[in-house]
Amino acid sequence: MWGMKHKILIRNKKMKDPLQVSSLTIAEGKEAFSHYCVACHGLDGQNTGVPFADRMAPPVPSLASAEVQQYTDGQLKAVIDDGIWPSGMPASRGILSDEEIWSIVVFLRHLPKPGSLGEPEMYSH
Amino acid sequence: MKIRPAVKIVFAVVCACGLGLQLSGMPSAEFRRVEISAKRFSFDPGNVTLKKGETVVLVLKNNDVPHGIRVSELGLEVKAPKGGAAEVCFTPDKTGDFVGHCSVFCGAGHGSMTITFHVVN
Repeated sequence: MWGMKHKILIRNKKMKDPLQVSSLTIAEGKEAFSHYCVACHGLDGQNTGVPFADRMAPPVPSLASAEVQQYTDGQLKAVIDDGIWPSGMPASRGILSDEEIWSIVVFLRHLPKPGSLGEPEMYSH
Repeated sequence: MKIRPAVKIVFAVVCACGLGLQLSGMPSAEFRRVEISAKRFSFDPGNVTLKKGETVVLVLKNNDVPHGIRVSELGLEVKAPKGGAAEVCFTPDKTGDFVGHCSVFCGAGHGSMTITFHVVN
C-alpha cells in the first residue's frame, strides 16, 4: 500500500513548491498549519498532545516520519488539497489558499523537535 | 495705500509655499480612498481597478470576524480586527491582474475568499 500511495495514488509528483524557503515562509506555514492541521497533527506535526492520534484507523502518522517525508512537495500539496480517502485526512482546498498550503509544505520540511511547541490549546482544558 | 509689485510677488510666493506645506502635512487626504468591506467569505467589491504608480489609501472594513488582504506579487498586506477597519497607503508598481486572498484564517471558506486587483497604465 505504501508503494501504491507514493507512486500511483497521490498525484502531483513533479510539481515544485513555488515559495522560497526562508524563515518567513516557515513561519507563515507554521501559522497556517496552526489554524487547520493542529487538531489532528499537533502543533509540531508529530501528534504531540493529540489524544486520539493512535486510535484512528489508520493512526495519524507523524509528519516527520519517512513515510510522509518521502512524498515530493507536489504530492504533499495534493494530499493537503484533496485529503486521503478513506483515512481521516480531509481535503483543505477552499479552506486554505494555495499560498497557505504551499507554505505548510515548507513548514513540513522544517518541523520542530517533537514536543517543543507544547500541545494544542484545545486539548489542555 | 499703495503696495509695490515686488512686495505683492513676495506675498504671493509666501502664500503658495504655506499652502504647499499645509498639503504635504496631510498625506492621506490627497490620495484616492478605496474602501473594501469584508465578511465571511467575500470582499465587496470583489474587483478593484488601480493605476500603476498612483498611490491610493486602501481601507479594509470588516463586518464580522478578523480578515485581511494579502497580494504577495504587489507586496500588499493589510489586516483589520473583528468588526473594525484598517487602512494602508499603497502604490502598485506593475500592471496586470493580481489575486489577493484573505490573510487571516476565518473559517471553512477562507481559502476561496479572494479579491482581484486590476492594475492598469
